[in-house]
Amino acid sequence: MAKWGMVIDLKKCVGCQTCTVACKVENMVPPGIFWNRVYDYEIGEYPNVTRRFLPRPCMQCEDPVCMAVCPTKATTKREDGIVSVDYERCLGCSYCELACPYRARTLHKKKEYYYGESTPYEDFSYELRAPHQRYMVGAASKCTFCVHRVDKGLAKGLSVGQDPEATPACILSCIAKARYFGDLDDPESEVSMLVKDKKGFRVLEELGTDPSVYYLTP
Amino acid sequence: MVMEKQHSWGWQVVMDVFLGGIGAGLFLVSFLLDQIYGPTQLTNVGSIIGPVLVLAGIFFLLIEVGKPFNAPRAFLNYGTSWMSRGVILQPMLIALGLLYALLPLGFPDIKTAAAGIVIGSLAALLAVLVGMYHGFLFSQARGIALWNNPLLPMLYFVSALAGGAGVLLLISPIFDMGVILSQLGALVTIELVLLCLVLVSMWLLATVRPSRAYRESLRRLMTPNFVGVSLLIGNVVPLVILIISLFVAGTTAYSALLAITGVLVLVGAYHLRHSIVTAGHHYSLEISF
Repeated sequence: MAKWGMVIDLKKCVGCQTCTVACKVENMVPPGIFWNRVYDYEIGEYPNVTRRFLPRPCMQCEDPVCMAVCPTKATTKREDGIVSVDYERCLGCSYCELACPYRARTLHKKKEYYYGESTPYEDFSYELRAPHQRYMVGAASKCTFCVHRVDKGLAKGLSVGQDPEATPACILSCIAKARYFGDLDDPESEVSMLVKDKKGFRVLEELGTDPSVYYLTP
Repeated sequence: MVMEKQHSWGWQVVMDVFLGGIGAGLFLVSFLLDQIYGPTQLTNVGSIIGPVLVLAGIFFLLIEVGKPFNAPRAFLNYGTSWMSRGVILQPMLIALGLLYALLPLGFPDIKTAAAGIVIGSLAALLAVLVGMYHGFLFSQARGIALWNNPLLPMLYFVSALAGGAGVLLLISPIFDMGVILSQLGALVTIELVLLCLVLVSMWLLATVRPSRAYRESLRRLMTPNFVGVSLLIGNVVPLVILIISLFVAGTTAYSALLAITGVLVLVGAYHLRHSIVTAGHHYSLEISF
């Protein structure tokens, strides 16, 4: 079984937030909720300052704290490492929001529209959406590595992370090709090679969550 | 260091943690006084109010969550989630605590009989667990540096005991308590000293913990507001009053001083929890570029 992971090259990231928007479009993420963020840091002291960017999807941890704390077992982890939330079961207690060291989860507090009132896009039939896109007020949600694309791609026999149809939206949309997606358990995969050759590291590794998202230093 | 303040949990959680902790502490102190000095009106009332306060805390938690109708599912993940464990422990404490408190209405001497002692002991054990539970609940939130702290269960437990005894002190002038009142004052003194020691240990932990985020969180916790209300009004001043009260023992002023102490201890217990909730900051995701 594959273990899906992501590699983000911080040297290539230009902080354009295209991935942020692509994620919102692909997953119909409601206003005020960001499954993908790009943090913008100012480094150094005037006049020697520079900007750096840190894209942050859900880390799809091997030992997800969000799953451990969830009182209703609404959070589960698949065999391929993707952590998902069952909105029907979620209590909306925000415990996962606080437990996740990466701030990858958000509670959907109230129904809002991007332009004040409903649009055809936003009212897109819930039945036609993938389960993780059927948002519920009062339930927590998070990035799923575009699991619907991964699953559909696999069903068609496509190569995940290589064929566009089987690749997360943030990877496809990145204008600088700073993101890579693939099987971390396959030592020959592009992501495994990048982690190995370019000494990929993970954020807040000391907390022991074993994230599946690696970064390459600028 | 960029650390964002947590906004997920607000005043409702503070109320839950305050009422739940104080309720558990109140029941535990009442039960212990029952067993040591025999049941009194004060401890009878205390053992009823305790479980009711825990119930009130659960009410505040329910109005905080997004989908309260899913609450019946909240016990499912007891294997790993402290929230699930709390969902199981608190109703058990309420049920057994009220049983212990109300059984004497039908069976007047049951509190000192074997059945009463067994029921009360089980409820007291649950009260100990509930008193610590909120600390475990917070410390499991690994994303918040200040909360992810092994000393929080002890801090909440000692504060719950002090707060529970504080409620008894507060209502004590209504009842004729005699000698038990001075024992209660001594108990509160010990609990407040322990509370100070646990708080100092939290600071000492910063010296052995490599996390910059934890040290930064402690710095943000130490506001003048926290020092003034949680530490001085809620801890130091009550200790001073308790010492002064020893010189006026047996007088009307003595009862009044103890009641004032009770109020101050409760103010401190609430403010301590409020401060810990509001001082919660997420880890900084900043990395060394």
